Parts: sequence; structure tokens; C-alpha cells
Amino acid sequence: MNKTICAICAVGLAASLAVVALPSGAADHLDAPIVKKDGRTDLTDVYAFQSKENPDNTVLIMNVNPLAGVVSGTSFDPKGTYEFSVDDDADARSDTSLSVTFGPVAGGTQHARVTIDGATVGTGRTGTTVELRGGGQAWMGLADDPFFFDLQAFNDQVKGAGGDRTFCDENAVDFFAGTNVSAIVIEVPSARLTGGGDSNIGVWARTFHRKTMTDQMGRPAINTVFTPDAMKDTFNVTAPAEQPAAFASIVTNRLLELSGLDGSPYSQSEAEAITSVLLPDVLTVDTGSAAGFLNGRQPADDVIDAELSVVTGGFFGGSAVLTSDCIPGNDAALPATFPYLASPH
Amino acid sequence: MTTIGVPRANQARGTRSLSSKLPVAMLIAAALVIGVGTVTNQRSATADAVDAAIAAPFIDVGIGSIDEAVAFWQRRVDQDPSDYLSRTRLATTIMAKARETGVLSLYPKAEAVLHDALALNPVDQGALLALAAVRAANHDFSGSTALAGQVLARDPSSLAALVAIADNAFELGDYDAARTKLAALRTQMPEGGAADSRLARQAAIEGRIDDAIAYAAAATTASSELDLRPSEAAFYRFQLAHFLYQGGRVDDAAAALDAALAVDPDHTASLELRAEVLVSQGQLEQAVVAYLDLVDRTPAADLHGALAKVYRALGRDVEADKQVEIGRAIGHEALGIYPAERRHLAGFFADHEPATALEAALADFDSRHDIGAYDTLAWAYFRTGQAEQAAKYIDGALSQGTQDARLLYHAGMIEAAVGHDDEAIELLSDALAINPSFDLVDAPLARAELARLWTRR
Repeated sequence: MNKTICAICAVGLAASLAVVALPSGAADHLDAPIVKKDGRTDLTDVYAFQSKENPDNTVLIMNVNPLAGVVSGTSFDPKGTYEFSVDDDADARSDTSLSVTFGPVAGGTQHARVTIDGATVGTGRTGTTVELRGGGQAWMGLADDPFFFDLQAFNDQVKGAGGDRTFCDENAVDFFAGTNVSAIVIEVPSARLTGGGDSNIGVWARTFHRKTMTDQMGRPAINTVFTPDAMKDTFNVTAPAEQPAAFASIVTNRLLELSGLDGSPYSQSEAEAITSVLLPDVLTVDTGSAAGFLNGRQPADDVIDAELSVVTGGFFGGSAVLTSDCIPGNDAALPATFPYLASPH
Repeated sequence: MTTIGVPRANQARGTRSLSSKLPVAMLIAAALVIGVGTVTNQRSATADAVDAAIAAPFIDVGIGSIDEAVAFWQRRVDQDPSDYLSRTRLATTIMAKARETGVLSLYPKAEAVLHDALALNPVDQGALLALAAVRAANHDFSGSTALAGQVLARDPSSLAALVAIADNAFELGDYDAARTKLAALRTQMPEGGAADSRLARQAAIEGRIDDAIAYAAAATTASSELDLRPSEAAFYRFQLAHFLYQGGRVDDAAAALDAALAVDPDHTASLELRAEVLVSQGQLEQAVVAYLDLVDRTPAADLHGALAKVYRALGRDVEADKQVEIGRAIGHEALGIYPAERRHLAGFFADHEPATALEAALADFDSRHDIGAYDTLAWAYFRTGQAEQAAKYIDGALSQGTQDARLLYHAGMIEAAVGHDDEAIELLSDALAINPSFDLVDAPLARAELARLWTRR
């Protein structure tokens, strides 16, 4: 589940409104846009996994611009910073940061600079592979959105949006089929991320406009599913290390609520135990393992199926087992080579 | 002056102090009557902010055209008969196209799609809010508010619903409610231009035109940081131009319009205001070209009427008469079809068929009680020879203290007709002080009326 879900809902609401009729005599059929979230720094998904081409490397991916080209743009914010934070000692605090900044759009592409802990390790242009000093490579540009999910069934069956769709009914559909995102893909030797310790790291992504942090994400769907709308912005700017104290009770209560929709909720202790795994919102990955989600996250991973049973307790709606949205994979074949994403539609 | 339907608090805010202002007004009036009627370009403390806003860059982030977006969502709709999310998105995209182009016939298409979405999910918030926007576009502001209220009841954090209710409150003339909602919006969304854009409108209504310009400039500058479609980015520059023009800063308005049209050369509202500004600048031949382009893009009675005025000023009466006839034909066809056009039609017919203007103005007043509705109805009454009725309604238009040359001109002429000479002199003087060339026909009439009023004192 990605954060595009939030973006779709929010944009849907926002774009429908904002009638600013001007005073007498003006063209009052024209409306002012209401401000939506800037797609360029709106994280949709974060991935972290052992490189399929070189097991000594780790691949980090962050995607922005939900429904790029249709709802959002297709470029990166030239006043923005896109950062992966990597924790190598399990304290949910960043030990290594990998950042990318961009220049203005020129000729359809942007200049990109990749830094690790503030030191420039590579420069190039979007749409091309950038070799990184110290090993590794980076790629930034428009790509197919690898996320797949039956969004409307989720809204109707889990969120109670009012429609009658359910997971795995005859209308099951990948809402994100045929859509694109702007992706940042960095592959570096795992040794640059593990800090000399064991092979386990925690990863989360942050985006900034100028100096202001605009978004943050680790595992898929934590903020989307577990925090109320009024607190989502706060969650997005709360450091992972501080999230358990600030949000544990909220997540626990949400787990109790969702798992109880079929009349058999988690026990308090069960919900609290799951909460302790979900928070802080950090994508944990053993860089020495080729396994996928819940070990990090790979573009092809069906995170929805993996998370549904956790979120709902496995049974839902008349005790039907709810462990899949019946969307088995991405609409476009995902390559096993760098940058691991399909070409844009 | 008498008042109809205006809250007392608003009357107080809009009360004019004749005793303190009259001497100044007399001096201004005297100057104007003897022909010191050049276009003013008052610069104020907001000048730097305006300059910065006009110079603010537009970054094309690569969002596809609105037609591409419509095609994208239409494909989704065609592929999945149960997909209400895509239907709502298709509808909102069609509405965005309607806003961009001014093609009002797109709204019924959007509404039909929304009804399909709501048939699949009767409580979908996105669809309800989109339908609220359609209602507002059709000038059913109460209906729009009710729908947005439904959403807000289910989701008190919905800024979109809050915005809809605030915007509708402006239209309905419930200015206290609008102020309250806007204050809440500003608190929850202090950046990005959405709140400032609306605060600009509030300030202009309240006669604080410099504040309006400052808010509009801030909104424009803030919007330059966002990933907007060209039409959205152009809107902020257009809005700034609108308030600059209302404040009599004609050349600054022209510069802001140049900026808007540089971002989106087809921005309809900017093209319309650009033509009006050209007239105000005395560039009548260029204005003819601009209006001919406009009526070719979006034939509308008021645009043909504006073109007729320019032709008349150039001595091209035959062409002027032809434009009036075209405007009449279009206007009669539009009456009763597009509620959003009533006010424009009332303005056009006030010059050519006052009885029809009154019909349109009454219909407009039936849907909303903002200052524009009072002004439109008062002027229609005046043009049909019902000055006493006009005087009753013009106070509603003045209730917020709005400083708009055309509004003040209307008020001045009405007050003169009912024998309130002092008020008339002040109002007409104020209108001409704001913009001595606010209208090709009406500005000279204002001067003539002022001269007549002075001679009979």
C-alpha cells in the first residue's frame, strides 16, 4: 500500500473545489485552485533490498509524483532535497544519509547531484545512469509506478467509504495500472550503509522543500492506515525515534478497531505487540538477505497481501479470511536489473 | 439612504462619512470635471510585493494537458463500470476544463458523471464535494453549502469542504460567516496561496484594496513554489491584475496580465481583463483586436457589448450596432440556460434592453445576496426608470465599503436620481478618483453628471 492512496483522495477532494468568484464585474465562473500537496515532494513508496545484480550492494528507491503527468508533474523539485536516512544500530536515528538534489528542468531533463553524508559522490542528468564514487550507481527519472493495489475495494471494505466493492470480487482491479511516478534509485555497496556493524539496517525517506521537511516514509501504509487524517501531517514530520511515544496508542487503537470489525479483535497485548513492530516507521532490511518484504521491500513485493492479514487480524466481514486483494502483481514486468523499474507508460 | 436586507453591523462598516470627506471629494470632483482625467497609477507600500509577484517564475513541472487528463480518466471509466473514484476524477477534470475555458456547457457533463459516481457510492466524499462545486458553478450556492456541510459533518478536518462553505458564504452575502471560515482556513493552511487568495477577495469587498493587492501578490508568489498547471498559475496572476485594476493601478494590472498570459496564453479570464485594461489605457484599436479574438473564442453577450462600446468610441457605429445585435441574440439564448451568466447578461442588457436586464438581475438576486447581486439589481431598476427601487438596493451593494469604480458610479447615478446630491457627488467623485477611465461610456457620463450636480448647487 503506498501513500498515493492519500494523494488520490486528497486531490480528489481538493480539485473539486475552490470556487473563488471575484467581485462584481469579474469572470465569476473561474475558480481559484485550492492548494494541493506538491506532488514533487509527495512520497508514494520507499523500497530497500539487496541488489539482484550484485549481492554486496543495497538498492534504495523512493518514488514521488503520484499519477505523474496526470495529477502530478513529471519533474523533481529544484528547490527540494530527497534524502534516504539509514540507521545502522537500530535506534531509529540516521547514521548515514544519501541525498539527491536537482537543477531546473532544461531540455526535458534535470541535473542531479548525489551526496552521501554531505559529500558529492556523483552528478548527472535525469533519465541516465550516474556512476557513484566509491561504487554504485544512481538513476532518477520517470518510471512505471510498481505499486499495485485494489484501492476502491480497500476504501469500501476496510475504510467504510460507502461503496459496495470488496476485495477479490468480480471487479478486482489494480488502480495503479498504467500510472507513472518519478523515481530515485540509488545502489551502493552495503558496507557504506551498515557502519561496520552487522548487515541489518533501517531505512526511511524524507523530502524537503527548501529547508522544510514535507514528507517522510518507511514501511508502506503506516501513516495512511493508522493515523487519523488530522494527524497525518504531524506524523510526516515526527522523527522515527519519537514516533512510538507520540503515536503508539493511536496505532494500537486503530489495530483494535480494524481487527474488531469482524467481531474478533486483537487482544490489547496483541495489538500493542504489533504496534511495537510497526513503530518506528522504518523499513528494516537485512542487506545480506535476498528475501523481500518484510525484509525491506522490493518493487515486486505484494505488500498489500502481506499487510492485510496483520491489519485486520486475518478475518473480516462475516469471518471471511482477508489475506489478499487479489491483485497479484504489477501491470508492467519489473526488470531484474538496475534500475529495477519498468519504463513509463 | 434606505436599506434592504443588510445586517446592521455591515451597514455600520459601510457607512460613508460625508462630513469629513466632502471637501476632498469636492476638490477631486472639480478637478475631474475640468478634465484632469488621466489614468492614475498609484504606487503604495505593496509595490515591491507586486513587482516580486509579477516577476515570480512559473516552473512547468510536466503535468499533462487537461485534455490528456480527461482522456486518462475517461479510459478508466470505460474500463471499469464499478469505479467511482475514476468517475469523480473525470468529473473534476472536466470541471477544471470548464474553469479554464469558460465553456459552461461542460458543467452538465461533469454533473452527469458525478451522478454515475454517486450511484455507485452515494456517500463518496470526493463526489459530494465535486457535486458541491457543480452546484456553485450553477449558482445554487445554498445547495452547494448543504453538500459541503454533509462532508464536513463526516470529516471535520476536510479543508476542501471548509473552502467550499467559505466561498459560498461570499456568494450568498453572508460575509460574517465567510470571515469566520476564512480565518479557520488561514490557521489550518497558512501557506500556499489558497487562504491568501480568498483573503484578497475579502479585503477587496471591504474596501481595503491595498490589502487585497498585498494578499493577491502573496498568493501569487507562494503559488510559484507549487507544481501547478499553467492555467492554475495564470489564475493567481490574473487575480492580482484584477485587484490592481480595481485599485486603479492600470499599468501594473497590465503587467500582471502580461505575466499571466506568458504562463498561459489562452487564459480566458486574463484575456478578458486584458481587453478591458487596453480600453482603460486608451488603446482602442488594440482593444478591438483583443475583443474580436475573445468573441471568437467564447462568444458571450457582454463581450460583444464591450466590443460595441469600443467601436462606438472609434466612430464605427455600424459595426457597433452589429455587435449589439449579436450580443442580444446570444444573450437571449443564454437567459434561463446558464445561471452563472445572469449577472453578465444583466450588465449587457442594462445598456440595451433594461427590462431584460431587470429580469436577469432579479433571477441573480434570487440565487445570492452578495454585493454584486445588490449592485446588479439596483442598476437594473435604475435603468428601467425605477430610481426609488434602485436606491433601496444600492445600499446593500455599498454595505461592505467596497471601493470599485463601476459600483460607485452606479451608486452615484442612483443617488443623483433620487435627489441625494451630496452623496451622488461623493460617490461619482470616488469612482473617477479610483479610475478616471473605468468605462468608455460611463466615465464620461459620470463627469457630466458631476458637472450637472455642481451647477445646480
